Amino acid sequence: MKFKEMIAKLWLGIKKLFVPSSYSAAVPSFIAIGFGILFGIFTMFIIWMLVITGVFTVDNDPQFFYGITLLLAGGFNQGMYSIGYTLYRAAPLILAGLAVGFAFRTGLFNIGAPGQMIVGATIAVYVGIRVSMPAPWHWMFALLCGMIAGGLWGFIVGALKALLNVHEVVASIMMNYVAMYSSFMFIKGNNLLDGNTSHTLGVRATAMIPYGTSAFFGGYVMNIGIILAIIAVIVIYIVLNKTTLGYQLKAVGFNKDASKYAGMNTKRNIMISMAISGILAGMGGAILFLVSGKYIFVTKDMMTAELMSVGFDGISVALLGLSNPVGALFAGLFLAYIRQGGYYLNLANYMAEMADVITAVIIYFSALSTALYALVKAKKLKFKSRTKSRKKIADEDAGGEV
Amino acid sequence: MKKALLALALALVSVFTLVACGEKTYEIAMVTDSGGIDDKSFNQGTWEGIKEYAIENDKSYKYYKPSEVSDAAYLAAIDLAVQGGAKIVITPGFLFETAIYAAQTTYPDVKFVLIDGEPHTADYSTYKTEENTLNVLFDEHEVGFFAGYALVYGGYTNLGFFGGMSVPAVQRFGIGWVAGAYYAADELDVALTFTADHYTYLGSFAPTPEAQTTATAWYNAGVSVIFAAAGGAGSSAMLAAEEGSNKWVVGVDKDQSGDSDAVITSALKGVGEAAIAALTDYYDGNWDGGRTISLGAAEGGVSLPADFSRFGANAAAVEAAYEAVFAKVVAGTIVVPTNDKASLAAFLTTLGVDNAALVAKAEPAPAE
Amino acid sequence: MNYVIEMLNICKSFGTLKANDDITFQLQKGEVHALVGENGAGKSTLMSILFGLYHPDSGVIKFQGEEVSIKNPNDANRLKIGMVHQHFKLVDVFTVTENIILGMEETKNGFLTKENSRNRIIELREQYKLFVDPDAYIKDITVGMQQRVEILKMLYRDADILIFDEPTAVLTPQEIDELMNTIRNFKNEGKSIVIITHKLAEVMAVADRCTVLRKGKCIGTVNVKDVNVDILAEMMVGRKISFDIDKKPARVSTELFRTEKLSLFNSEKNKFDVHDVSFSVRGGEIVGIAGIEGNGQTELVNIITGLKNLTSGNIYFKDEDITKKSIRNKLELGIGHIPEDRHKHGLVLDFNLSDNLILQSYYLPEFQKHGFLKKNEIFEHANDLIKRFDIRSGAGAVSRARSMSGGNQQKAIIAREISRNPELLIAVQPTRGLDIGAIEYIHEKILEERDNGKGVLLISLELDEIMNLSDRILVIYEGQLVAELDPKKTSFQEIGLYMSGSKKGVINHEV
Ligand SMILES: Nc1ncnc2c1ncn2[C@@H]1O[C@H](COP(=O)(O)OP(=O)(O)OP(=O)(O)O)[C@@H](O)[C@H]1O
Ligand SMILES: [Mg+2]
Repeated sequence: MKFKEMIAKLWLGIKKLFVPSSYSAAVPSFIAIGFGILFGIFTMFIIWMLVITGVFTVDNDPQFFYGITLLLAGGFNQGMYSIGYTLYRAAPLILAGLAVGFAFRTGLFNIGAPGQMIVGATIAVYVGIRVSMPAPWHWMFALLCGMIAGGLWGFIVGALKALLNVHEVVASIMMNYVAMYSSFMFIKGNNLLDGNTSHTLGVRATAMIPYGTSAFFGGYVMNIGIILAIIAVIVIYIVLNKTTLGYQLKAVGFNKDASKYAGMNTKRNIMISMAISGILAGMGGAILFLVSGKYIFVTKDMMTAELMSVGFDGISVALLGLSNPVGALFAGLFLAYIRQGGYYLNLANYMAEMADVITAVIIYFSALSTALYALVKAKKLKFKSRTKSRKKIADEDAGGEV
Repeated sequence: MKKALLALALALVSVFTLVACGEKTYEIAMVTDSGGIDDKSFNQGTWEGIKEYAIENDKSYKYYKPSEVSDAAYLAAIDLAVQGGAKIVITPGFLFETAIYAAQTTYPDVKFVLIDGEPHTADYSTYKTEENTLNVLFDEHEVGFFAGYALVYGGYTNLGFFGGMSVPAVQRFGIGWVAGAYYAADELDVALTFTADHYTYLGSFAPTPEAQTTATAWYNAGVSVIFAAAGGAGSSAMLAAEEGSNKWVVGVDKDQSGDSDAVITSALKGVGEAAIAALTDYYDGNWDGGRTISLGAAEGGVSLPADFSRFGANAAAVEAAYEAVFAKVVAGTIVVPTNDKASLAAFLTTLGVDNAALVAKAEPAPAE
Repeated sequence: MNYVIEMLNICKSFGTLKANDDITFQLQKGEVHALVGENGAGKSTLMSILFGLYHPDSGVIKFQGEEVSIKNPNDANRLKIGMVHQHFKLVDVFTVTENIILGMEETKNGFLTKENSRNRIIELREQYKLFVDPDAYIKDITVGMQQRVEILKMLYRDADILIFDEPTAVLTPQEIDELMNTIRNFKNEGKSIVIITHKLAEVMAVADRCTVLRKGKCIGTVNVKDVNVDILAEMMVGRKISFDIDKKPARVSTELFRTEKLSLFNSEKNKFDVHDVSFSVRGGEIVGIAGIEGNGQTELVNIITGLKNLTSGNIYFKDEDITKKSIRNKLELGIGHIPEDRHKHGLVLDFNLSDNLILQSYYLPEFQKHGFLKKNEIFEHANDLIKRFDIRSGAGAVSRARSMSGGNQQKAIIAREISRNPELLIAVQPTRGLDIGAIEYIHEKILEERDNGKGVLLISLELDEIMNLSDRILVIYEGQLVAELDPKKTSFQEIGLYMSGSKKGVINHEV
């Protein structure tokens, strides 16, 4: 089979995953979440059993029931404090998901969100360290620069696709690595490194995303990042649903041929769409790092763990949120919630990675969503008809007795 | 369905109150950094020390993994540890400096042991160590010295240095390594080759193909041993060494001989011992906080591993020489230069060595 | 009676719309049963229920006298029911064989084996004379062939009850004849056939019985022997239909549009798809292009409208060279285009009707202000067109285009193009899939455009349509114009000869 056909087939599949044809498709997302959590609990149970029966010995025995409550209580475990922390963690996830989902709505697979986040974060941190400005302007300016940097990074991918016909998946994967290494060079080249460690200096206090309501959330973490993310969700929702720009971007995404027929400039749309997607990802990166006590590490493993992974989480968030802005909001919140729950598993002597197991299972299941949904529906119908026929038999029996 | 929801809601509500009175408490707590307790390095070393002490003395112990790498997340994990009943919290690595700076005042009744760092504010403007905090640093220069000394005694006279990043602890390793090598060369009156080209800070603790290429090039240029004070990047040097014949790597932090057959010896930092010492003091009522202790050869904080078999025929001789020089350092007869190039230059001058280019490489101009 | 299938009192609603309202439909063994009715009458819905795609709200389906529940197409397959859909459900990037075996692939040691299936397909192909290349990709074959693939797909699954949803709408007259023969063959083998169509002549030609639906209700089932086309038409629409077009003489004005030596070279096939095509359209006339499918009509339209780049030649609109102009420019200059493939080019199926109706004009001040869409105006616009063009759908302006019946999708496109008030209307197969009432209406509209001084370029595979509407007829054969004919002076036979390449004429380029 020709390479082109293979790509086209693959694309068909991916497209089906992300942009379901019906909105009742949210159901599979919920089913997937349910399965994921059940699977997580099941795994925890197995671990517990293995320890209890002495197959494994560990330093501290896991506490199964306590663990379940911790896991499910997620971001509620420590009251307002952990709610605040969950919201803080959710903001970049939402933005990454929004970036991927937005691109998908317009027919593009932006797997380059990680790279866009990296450049967004790097430039924002640069402005946060090097530029001196009064308080509200400084962080806004840093954020804006991060957004522009992310947007440019996305735009490059869009331009490569539109003008040179390079598939965006290939281009953006490469741009992810270019982003990582050029970010290292940029940080070292501009002396942004903290001389005692392998990470950047802290950004100036004026460049930190304001804490706003942190007192209410009982801690030092909660900043207005979540509010910015929600604003982004609203803006993207409006752009997609209320503007001519969104109209044509969606048209191109749904049916490129018809858009071309209708006189839309599909190439320009691809570039615009990738740029907007990059802006969102860059914003996520900036919000992630314009925070007190948070630094960009110039090592590959730390960069991968701290920035790349959030970008890739964006794909999961978009998938779970059905590429819908509001969906991304809830999916991002959910992911942060369950991760926060995973963190509290520390207390019950389970590994926090349990949350990753759960999210992985959820993603797998929501990828299988359509099949799953059909299965569940068929089961339900079968069940109904079975009860019906049972009733019929019962009726007949009764009839026989009369 | 409704029932399930109700049950869930009840569970949520009950958990609000549950956390505060989590079922068990743990007196000794460790907060890991991003690596986790099986990182074959700092976290693992510290954790093994804690375990050893706790099991021997029947104390409850537990580690907490923060949700991300940030001061806030470290602080949150410390909070969790304290809520979990921690009386003493041990944190490995300088990344905890800012978090401990805050935590030590938030929890005056809890003891903190900060390994390899000193608490300060994020912008380094204020350093402060409260009574409840004990900082443990290591004399990396001393163990670097031992390694350089041992290798020259083992007959290896063309050396190189890989530093992960140009941070003080790594600089100390490198300066000690240079000093030890020249010291031995002077004693034995052999010629030592150590060009400035073969001394580098990689800029990363991660293994990369570039690092491996560099190592291979050095080995091809005649270098026989590279001291890889570079965390995971050391494995790149090991791969390069395995390809050559009679090419070696000196490991770092832990005994790395198990990682590769090319590891001839390792520059050990006794993080586990440090944890044990701090715990012993605390439980014996001898807590003496509010200060920084430096664990050097004299305190048993740094050393080479006992096994010298990879020196081959010279093993016994090298071991004897090492023990002799170890005693001299402990006794203070030899004062190993630390992490400033001036003291290294002075040290070399006393040996009649002039290698200004190398000295300049050892402590590059700091950032900014 | 010996019924293979009985659908009794079937009801199915989409929202408030009753697509099927208490319909009873009975299929005898070995008969050809036509199902007719206006666009949106519920024909596809009824057959989709039989095929397990929809579940009826109420009603009973019996298979050979026994009640069955058909929950999905797999159940239908088990009952040997097969369906060729109105819009084919083939995967473009799969081969013919892959499409046919999709869902019942044979495997050997866990690997797909296509050899047996391929042989089986070739056998079926020979048996029923359904010629297709089993290894061709769907995207490379003609619509007619795609339909054969769909038919083979049913046969491959041993279907005994064959449902054809508007099979002839996309076929050439020759292909239609072949299909009719195929259907007769099936019948002779004892298979039972349901055929949905808007062409009553076809009903008369192959069907034994005919069921008529109107607005979701069943009007009745008749024996075809006992009725004629007019009676059927009246049953369908509820009024008398005149098949004759009332056509005033053309009032031709000046030249509006001209092409000079348009060529498109196909490097894959190493031949010209369109070769040196020169013609013009004047205001107030309808120029029809007749030809057998695949002779370059599609490509010609694509290069005129700008969907494809031409190899050489020039296009003039009102004496202005528009060869290099963007599609949007051309649209703005006043060119309208009813595309051949309504799903590929005509509609964004996942948009709702109102959004589809502004596809080319969403950015005009009429529908946007400062970049924000004026939702109210857009809805008003939609509702106006829905009323004027009688576009029927479940939820009116907010119906998703995908959920609309095929004929109504077509009406939406025509409404959009005509309402843009273009000076030149390029209409490709404008009445494909429309019911007779709607065809009558659309034809009136096209004539109205012409009478208002607009130019119309009509491309159709249906000679009737070309003959009835055109003022001048051009015949295309292998990418070249081979004749220009006056509809009043020519005959079907003559056009046919040109179309098949048996006769070649000279064209006077200077009109
Ligand atoms: N999935 C759906 N959701 C909502 N409405 C639908 C759906 N499918 C069909 N309809 C509506 O039901 C009505 C009947 O549609 P159907 O496709 O059965 O018509 P039809 O008789 O096949 O017409 P045509 O000749 O135009 O194909 C139409 O008004 C259509 O808009
Ligand atoms: Mg239909």
